[in-house]
Amino acid sequence: MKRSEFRLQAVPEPESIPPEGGTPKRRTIMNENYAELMPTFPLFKGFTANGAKRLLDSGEVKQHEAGAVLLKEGDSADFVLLVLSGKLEVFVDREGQHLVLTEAEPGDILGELAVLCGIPRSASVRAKDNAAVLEWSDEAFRTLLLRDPSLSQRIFREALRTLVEKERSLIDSVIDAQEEAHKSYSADK
Amino acid sequence: MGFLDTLIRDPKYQNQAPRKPDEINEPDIIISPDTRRDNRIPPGQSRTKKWPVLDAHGTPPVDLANWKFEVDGLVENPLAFSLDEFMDLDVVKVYSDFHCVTRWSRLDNIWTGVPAREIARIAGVKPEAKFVLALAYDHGWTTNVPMEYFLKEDSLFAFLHDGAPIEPEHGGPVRLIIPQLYAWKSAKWVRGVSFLAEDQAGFWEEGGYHMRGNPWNGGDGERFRW
Repeated sequence: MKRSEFRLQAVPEPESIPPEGGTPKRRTIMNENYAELMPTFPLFKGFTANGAKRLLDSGEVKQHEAGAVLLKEGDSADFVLLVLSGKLEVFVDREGQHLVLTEAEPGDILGELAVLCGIPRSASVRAKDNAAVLEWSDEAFRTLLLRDPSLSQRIFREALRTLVEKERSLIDSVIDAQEEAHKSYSADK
Repeated sequence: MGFLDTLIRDPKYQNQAPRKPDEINEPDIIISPDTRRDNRIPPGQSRTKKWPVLDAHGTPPVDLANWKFEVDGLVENPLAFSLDEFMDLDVVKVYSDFHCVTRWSRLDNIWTGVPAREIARIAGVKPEAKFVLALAYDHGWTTNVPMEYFLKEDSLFAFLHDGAPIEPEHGGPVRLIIPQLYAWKSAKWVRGVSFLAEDQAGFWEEGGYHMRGNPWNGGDGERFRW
């Protein structure tokens, strides 16, 4: 065997603790608590706490106070969120109106479509209560999807289901609008 | 891409239909039983003529001078081999197919290496050992394999594929090959095995992948635990 043929590649060490992540010890304890919680979310069914901890370690857990805006419509999309605790509100502001599109709960993923499609955020997200989210950079999120076909299958299924629901509700509102228009047309006559 | 380009760029490209086990003209080669099936492609899989590269962390640096293979856990004789010592052990050749959980199957492979059952024999595995945890050089990557499959005649620690050293991206210098399970159980860059009484989830298994991973069981193979 020609040993010189073996190509040796340097593998970067995992990143050290980011400064805003709290002290390493505190961050570790926090991640361990969420690692127990994550396998109870349908998206991570079958994960062990260790498996969940790896997902946590590949991103960063962030705490947000009620009212904080986590995503802003129109912003460029460079991270994906997993809701760990608390409720969030997905909304758009149009012509002075605050329109709530949906609510997100623990276990929901937010912002993945904009990241995957490379488009700006299509809606804003704010915390209704104090909330904790796991934030993956777009690169970390893409790596997760590429490396783990089972997880990507689940995430895509969930994302597409949300899109189908949106389409359905769009059709419903078009039909409602037509009925309204028809009613007012009949009333005018 | 033309045919010649394909060959030049990818020497592992399979341009031919897969051979049948009876056409393998190698004395004493072990024929993996699944290659004798009428349909060699398990449910939900399709044949690739290439050899895709998948891993959890990229190809790790493996220092061949300090390469070590260690055997511990429920054994009479814990073992440690250098690369030279490991390659001096008795070797076998195995003809087998290779089924990745990401739904491709690479048929028609010949592996050369140390039989897994030979490692179990030298180490003196205790009767209470029922599972094997294979350990790899990439960031503590592991996978769990039931003893029953580890001891199959066609399971081996391979260092040659089709007669050539296994490329680093395919798990060289030495990788485990368990032909009768999905290929993630065939740990790349293997650095040892631990014999266990209780099953212990490995890297992908901790992410919901199947504890056994038999591609022929169930309607779609034993891929996930969900």
